Amino acid sequence: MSEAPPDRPFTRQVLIDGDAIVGARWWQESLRLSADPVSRRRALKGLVLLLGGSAAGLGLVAALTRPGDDVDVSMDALDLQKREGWNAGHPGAVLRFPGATLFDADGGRSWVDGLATLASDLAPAQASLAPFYVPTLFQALGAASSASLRSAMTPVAPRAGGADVLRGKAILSLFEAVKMPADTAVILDLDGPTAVAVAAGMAPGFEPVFIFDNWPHPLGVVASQLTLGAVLYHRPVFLRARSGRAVPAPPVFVLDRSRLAHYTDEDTQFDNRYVARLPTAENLRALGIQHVLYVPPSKSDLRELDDLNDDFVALAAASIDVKSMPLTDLDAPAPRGDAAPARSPATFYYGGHPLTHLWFWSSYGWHTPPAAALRAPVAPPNVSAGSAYRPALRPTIFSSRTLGGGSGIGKQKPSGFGRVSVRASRSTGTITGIRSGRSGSFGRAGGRSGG
Amino acid sequence: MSKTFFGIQVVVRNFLTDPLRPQLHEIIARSASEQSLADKRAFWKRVAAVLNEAVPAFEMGYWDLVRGDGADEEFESWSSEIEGSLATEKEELGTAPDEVSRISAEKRYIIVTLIFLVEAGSNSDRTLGERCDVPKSEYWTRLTFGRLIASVPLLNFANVVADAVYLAPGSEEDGLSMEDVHGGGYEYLKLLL
Repeated sequence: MSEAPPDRPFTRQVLIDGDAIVGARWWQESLRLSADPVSRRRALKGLVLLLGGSAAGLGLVAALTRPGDDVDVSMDALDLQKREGWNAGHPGAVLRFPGATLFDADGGRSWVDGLATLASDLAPAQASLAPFYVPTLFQALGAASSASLRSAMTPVAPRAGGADVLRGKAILSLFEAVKMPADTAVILDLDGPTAVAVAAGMAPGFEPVFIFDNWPHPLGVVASQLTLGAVLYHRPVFLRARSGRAVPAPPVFVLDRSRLAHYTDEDTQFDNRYVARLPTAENLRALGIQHVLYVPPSKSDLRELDDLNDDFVALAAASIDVKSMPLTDLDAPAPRGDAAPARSPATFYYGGHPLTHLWFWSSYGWHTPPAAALRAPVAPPNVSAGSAYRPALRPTIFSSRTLGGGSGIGKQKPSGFGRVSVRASRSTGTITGIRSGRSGSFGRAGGRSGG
Repeated sequence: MSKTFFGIQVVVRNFLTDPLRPQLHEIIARSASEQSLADKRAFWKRVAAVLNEAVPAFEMGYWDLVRGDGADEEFESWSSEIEGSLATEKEELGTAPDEVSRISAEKRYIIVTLIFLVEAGSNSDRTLGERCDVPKSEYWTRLTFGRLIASVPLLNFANVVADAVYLAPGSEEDGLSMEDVHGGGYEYLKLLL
């Protein structure tokens, strides 16, 4: 190949003009390193052979066709909801709210006025954390077609007498003991309402970054309306903390581990599952993060969920230390046998006792409390081995599906994950049926059902 | 040399009477085999202008910006997958459209793909970074796709290592149906709002 003249630096390498595709590709030779057109060509031919010489390589697989004008196709569940309404296919069905209350954490009803602005109200105050905020769930309330969702929503009170908030306060106190180091991020991977409550307890010192990437649905595999209700309940706490928090504050990434809930029956469930999109190791490095504390529910859940495995292994490879601490490692002191019932909320501690609390730092080792704060901590007998946890690569259905990175686009869902079967008209492109519901057949969408 | 990859793919609703497909076809097929920087800018201005007219008909799409180690591989991956699986070179695929795999009774859609590999840290890289810095809630809107495509002629092509454009289908007789674009393998495409 002759070298391109300097005034025409781009040389066309490929020109395709066929029935299936028209295309052209150029290289600027002066900027090109060692790319070998011969090897690329071989690779291309190999790919074609691998694909058996059909268009199936791009996934042009015939969908199940229906008689007449309709065709059955698979759609991303969230895309479908944005197009057809949050309760797509089931406009008459109701959301279920165990633990519903009329009032928020302050005993007020200001949450009603904040429904449509929730996504902006709860955005991270620190601009550096804003790219990692995934407010999809909150945006459901702001959609023009979601009037019926807004009228259905209600705060959801915390369970277990506020223990989750107290556990959040316990995490906060651990970090306050070492002056709120900005080099440590916390990831709460708990069921949605619990994660929100723990985040509320931490909010005075940690910046919550919510990563909720779906919309609720009456038949949703993920009952994200409960997470949304919990956010409405704790909303005044988050707003107060947002304005009063010292900056910079370390981030707490708030995940709903129900995002990967088991999907059993297409006819009784709407697959609104999703994958968590955490910042990459490069992103965390840029934020100055060197340590990550992963908080799952219990000792039996020390290992990160499947969709986080690739991410966590990548963090470890980038020398970002990841350790796990289940929420159950934080507990209230056991009541003495002769003690009167407590009249004020208990305080939770690492290991369940004030004297074991700061042992956390002896175990996890990232920071050391000032000597004055140490009251001869003793090793707690019943905590997990989370301080010794190290992520290890394992095959999952999410393995090697990361796309992008620079723009934070995140992961691609595995095939069939978070998708819904719909029936659409060939001639108009409109969706005429959505397959979910006990009928076992396609219900008519009836056009846009939100509102 | 570290590089940055930018790729954008858009599914456009198209009817046989629309000039979009033939216009793009002509621009690509008649492109010069060797291009100066001015030729390159003029080429992309023509492509962007035609696509700009079609923004309201954008139905689905995907875009990605990859910086660093994966940029070369991403460019190679996009280009080889598209060229390799849809190429119509006679010795590889034959000349007839694949009737088994593609159900094209309703030739409603075309897919346009633009990909670029630019020098990291260059003016072009910064332009792409700025243009791609959109709120997450606006990633998948027609407006964003229109703006991203309109950004292409603004690149400093002295920093562009490689670029490519693909249009499918390549003829009026073939087409992509709803089954094609919603079928297996295209799950990554996002519905545009």
